[in-house]
Amino acid sequence: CCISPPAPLCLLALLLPPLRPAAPLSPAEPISQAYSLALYMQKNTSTLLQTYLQHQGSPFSDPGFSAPELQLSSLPPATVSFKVWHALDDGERLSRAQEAFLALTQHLQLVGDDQSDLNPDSPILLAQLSAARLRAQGLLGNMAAIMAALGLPIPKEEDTLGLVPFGASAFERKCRGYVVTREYGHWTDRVVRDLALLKAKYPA
Amino acid sequence: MWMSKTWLVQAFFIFITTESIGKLLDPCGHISPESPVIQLGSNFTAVCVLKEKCMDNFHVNANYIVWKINHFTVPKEQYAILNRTASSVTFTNITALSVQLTCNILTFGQIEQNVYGITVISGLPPEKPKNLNCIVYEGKKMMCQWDPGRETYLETNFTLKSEWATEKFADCQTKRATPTTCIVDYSPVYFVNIEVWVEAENALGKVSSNHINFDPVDKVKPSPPRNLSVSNSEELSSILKLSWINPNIKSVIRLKYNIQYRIKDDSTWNQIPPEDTSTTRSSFTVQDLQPFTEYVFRMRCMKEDGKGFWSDWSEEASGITYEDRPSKAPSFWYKIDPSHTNGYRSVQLIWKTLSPFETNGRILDYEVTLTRWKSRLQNYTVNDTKLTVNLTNDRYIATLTARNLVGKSDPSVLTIPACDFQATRPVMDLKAFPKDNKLWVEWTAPNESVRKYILEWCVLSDKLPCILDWQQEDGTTHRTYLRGNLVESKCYLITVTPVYADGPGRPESIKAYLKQAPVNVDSSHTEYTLSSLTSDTLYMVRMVAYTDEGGKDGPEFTFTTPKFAQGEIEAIVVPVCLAILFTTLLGVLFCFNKRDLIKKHIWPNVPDPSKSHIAQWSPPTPPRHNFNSKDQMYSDSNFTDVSVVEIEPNDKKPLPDDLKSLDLFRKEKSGTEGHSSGIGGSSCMSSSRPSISSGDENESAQNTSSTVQYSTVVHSGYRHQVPSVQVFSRSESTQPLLDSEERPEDLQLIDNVDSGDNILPRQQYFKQNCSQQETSPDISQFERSKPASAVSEEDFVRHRQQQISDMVQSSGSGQLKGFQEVSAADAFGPGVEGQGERFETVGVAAVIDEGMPKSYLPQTVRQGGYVPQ
Repeated sequence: CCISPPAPLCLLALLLPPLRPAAPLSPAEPISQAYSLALYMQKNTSTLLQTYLQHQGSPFSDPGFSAPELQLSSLPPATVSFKVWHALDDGERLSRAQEAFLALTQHLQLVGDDQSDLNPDSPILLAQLSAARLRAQGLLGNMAAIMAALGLPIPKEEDTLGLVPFGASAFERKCRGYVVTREYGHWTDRVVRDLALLKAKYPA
Repeated sequence: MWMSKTWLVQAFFIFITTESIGKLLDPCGHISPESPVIQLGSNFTAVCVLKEKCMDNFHVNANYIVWKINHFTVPKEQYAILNRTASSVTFTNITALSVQLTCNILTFGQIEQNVYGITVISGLPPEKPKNLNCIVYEGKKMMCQWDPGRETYLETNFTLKSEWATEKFADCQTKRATPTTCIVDYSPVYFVNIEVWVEAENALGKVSSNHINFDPVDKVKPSPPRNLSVSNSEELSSILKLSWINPNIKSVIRLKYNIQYRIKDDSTWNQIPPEDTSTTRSSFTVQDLQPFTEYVFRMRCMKEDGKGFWSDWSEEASGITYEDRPSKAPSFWYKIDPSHTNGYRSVQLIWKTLSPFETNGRILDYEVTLTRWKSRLQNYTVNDTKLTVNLTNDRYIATLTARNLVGKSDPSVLTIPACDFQATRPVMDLKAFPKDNKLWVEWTAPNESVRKYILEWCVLSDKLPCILDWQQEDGTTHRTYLRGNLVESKCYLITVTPVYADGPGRPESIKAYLKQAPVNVDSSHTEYTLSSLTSDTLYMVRMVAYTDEGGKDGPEFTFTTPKFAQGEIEAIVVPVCLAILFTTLLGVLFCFNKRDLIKKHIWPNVPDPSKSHIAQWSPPTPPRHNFNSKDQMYSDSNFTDVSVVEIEPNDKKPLPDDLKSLDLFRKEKSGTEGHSSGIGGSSCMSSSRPSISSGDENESAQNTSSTVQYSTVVHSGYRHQVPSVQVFSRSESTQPLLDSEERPEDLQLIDNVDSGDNILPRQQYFKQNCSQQETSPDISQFERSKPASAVSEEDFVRHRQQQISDMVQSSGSGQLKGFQEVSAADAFGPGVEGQGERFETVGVAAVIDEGMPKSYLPQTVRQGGYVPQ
C-alpha cells in the first residue's frame, strides 16, 4: 500500500488542477442564485398583477377579473402539461424559459411604456413594472450563467416584438399589459419549478 | 505741418493697435497651446506666433518677443527663435499650479506691447481608485464608496459603472470626497450578480479601478428589528421572553441575530451565544436570569450566512423577571443583655437584610420562631431586622425566615444556650491582617463541625464605646474579610465565635488594624512628630523611603510613650507639696494660736520653786525619827508625800552604797563646785546657770553652815525672792512629770531596786500626789512644808530657820517668804550639786525637767541627812 500509492496520487494530482478552474463554473451557485431570484420574483408577481389591474379601470379592476383566453402571439404561453414538462431535459427547460423571459423583458418594457402614457401618475405601478422587467433581465443572466456552467448553448437574443405593438388602442394596450403581467407570473412559477429540479440535481 | 501729420498718424496707429488688443478682436499674434494643462514637475514649451500685419505695423519680428510669467520677464536663455514670426519659451519642472504666461513685443521706444496671454494650469493625473465596496441599506438604493487616491489639483470626475452580463446600468457620477461615495440610481436587484467599477478622469488622464462582482443581496445592511418587547413568566422566575418584528428584508433573506442584555444598573452587556440566534425568528426566551431583576435588552440582525452587514442595534427594551422565594437564609445572631433579673434575660435577636440578588423579590417581613424544649413557644412577624424578647434562663432555639410574595427563605436556626451554658471549643490560631485594603481574619476550625461563624468587631477607643458590627460566615469558611466600612489607623477588636448545633462556642478575640497610620513626610524633612498617641503604650515605627520606582523599608524600632506627659508630674507634685506645706503652716499657726493650751497639755506648768511660799510654811518641827527608818516615814501619813519624793534616788542607790555615794558626794562638793554645776547644766539647762552663778553664794552659804549642801536648789529662788512670790510648791511640779514622763523609767528602776518594800509605797505616793495636785489647792500649803520638814531635820537648819522666822516676824509677813527661800538656798546649795552628780550616774532618770533636781532634792537632803550621822 505504502509502496504503490504513487500511481493513484499522480492521477489525483493531474486531475485536480483542471478541476479547480472549473469550480467557479460549478452550476450549483448560479442555480441557487437563480432559484432564490425566482422565488423572490414569485412573491411579487401576484402583487404586480393586482396592482396592474387596479390601475386599468373596469373591467380589469373589477373583483375576480380573469380572462385566461386572452393570449399574445409574441409571448410563448407558460402553461404546459406535466407530461411534456417532465419529458424535457435541463437544456430544453432552460432554453424555453430563457426564450420566454427574453420575450417577457421586452413586453414588460412595452407595458411600462404603455402605462407611462395611460397612467403617468402611478409611480408604484411603473416602479413595479420596471422592477419586474429588471428581475426578468437578471434571471436571464442567471440562466445564462447556469447554461454556461452546464456547457449548454445560450440561445441568441431575438426581437420578438418587432414593430407590432405600435398603433394599438388604449384598451388593446391594457389587455396586452394584462396578458404580459399574467404570463410573467406564470412563467415565474414555471421557472421556480425548473430551477428547483435543477437545484436538486446539482446540490451545492 | 508734416510733423504734426506724422504724430497724428502715429497716434492713430497706436489707437488702432491698442483698440484691437483691448478688444481682443484682432490680436497681434497667439500662443500655442491655447489653454494647457500640464503635469506637475513636467517640462512645458509655449510658442508665440506673430502676425505679418502686426510685424509690419510695429516693425518687429520674433526677436522682439518678450515672455512674461505672472508679470515677470522670463530670462532670454529660455527663449528660442523658431523663425521670423515665432518664438518659443521652455520651462522645466513646473511646480506652480496656475501661472499667467504672456507674449509681448518690444516696440519702438522700448514700449512693451502685450500680444497674447494664456493660463498654464498644472496638476496630476488621477490615481487608480482603491477599496471599492458597496452596501445596500435595506429599502434604499445601493451605495458604493472607494478611496480616490492622491490629490490631483485638477477637477476630477468619478464615474461608478455597473452592469450585468446582459445589461448596463446608468453611470453614477460624483466628485472627489473622502471617502468618495456614490448612490446608484436604480433599485438593487438581489440574486443577480452585478459588476461594479469606478473610473476617475481629469484633464491629465483617466484611470479605472478594479472591477468587483457581487450579488447585492450579500451587501445588505438590514434595518434593525423593531418593536422589541420583553415579558416575564410567573412560572419561571429565571426567564424573560423577547419578541420583535423583523425587518422587511426578511422576505428576501434569512436572518441571524445578536441579542444582548444587561442588568439595568450594570454597564456591561452579556451576549446570548450567537449559535442560539442563528436562524430567522421573531421571539427568543432568555434563560438563567436572576429573579426579580430588571434586565435591558437590545438586538441586531444580518443575513444568516454572515454576508453583508450587521444592522444597527435595535432600541433597548427592558423587563423584570418574576419574583422567586429568597434564595438564602438571612445571617442570624443574638445579643444578651447582661443585666438579667428574676430568672429572665433580655435577648436581642439580630439579623442582616439579604442582598438584592438574594431576596429574589421584595421582602415583606421576617418570621421568627422561638422554641423552648420541644414545645413551640411563640411566632413573631417582624418588619425590622431585630427583635428583643424576654427569655427564661432555659435553652431556646430561634429560627428566622425571610418572606416575599412568592415564598419563604430557608430558615436560619440559632441556639440560644441556657444561662449556665459554658461555651467551649473556640477557634484556634486566630489571625487578622490587612490585605488589599481589606482586613482579613483567618482561623483554624475547631475539630467539631461548625454550623457557622459569627465575626464581630468594633473600634477600640478610649473615648467612644465599642459599637459592634458583625457578619456571618459559613461553617466551612476559615478566612474572610470584614465587610464593613473600616477606617484606617483604628484598632479593631475582632471576635470570632464558632456556632455549633448546640449553641455558640467560646469567642476568641484579636486586635488588628486595617492600616497602621502611614504618615507621608516630604523628603525635605528629617524629623516628624507623631501626634495623638496613647500614653503608656508600646509603639512600633518603621520608616520607608520612596522614590518613583518604589520604596525600601528601614529598620523597625519601638518606643513606649510615657505614662505622664511632660510637666504632668510637676503639675501633680507641686500642688501636693504646696498643699502639704500649707496644711503644715496652718497647723503651726493653729498651734501657735493655741500654744497656751498645748503647752499646758504637753508641758504642764512647772512650779517655780523660787516662788514657793516656803516662807509661809509654818515651822512645826518634823519628827526626827522619820529620817531614821523608812517604815516609820511611810507610816506617818502626814509626811508621806514629802518623804517619798526623796525615795527615788534612794532606790537607785541601794542603801549599802549610800556611804560610798556620800563619800563621792563629799569629794565632789569639796573639790569641784564649778564642775558639778556644769553637770547640773547638762541635765537641766535652765537650772544650770543659776547653779553656776550660785557658786559664790553656795560658798558663802557653806561658810555660814558647813553642812548646808541641800540648800542649793533654793538658791535660784533666792534670786527671785525679791521680784515675785510663786505659789507653786516643789511637789506640785514634780508630781505630774513623774507621773507622765518618768513612769516607764520608774518602773524600770523599780525592777532594779533590791528592796521590794519601796515599790508599792512610792507608787502610792505618786498617785496620791496626782490626786492631790489635781484636787486640792490646800496641798500647796501642805507641800510647802515638805522641804521645810527635810530641812528641819538638821538642828542647825532649824536653828537658822528660827532666826529667819525671827527676822520675818520683825520685817513683816511680805518678806517672810523671801527670807525663807534665802535661808533654804543657803542651806541646800551644796546638796544640789552633789545631787547633780548623782543624777549623772543614774543616767536617764536624771534627764528631766528643771524641777526634777528640786523634786529629788529632799532625797539628797536626807542622804545628806545621813552624812552628819
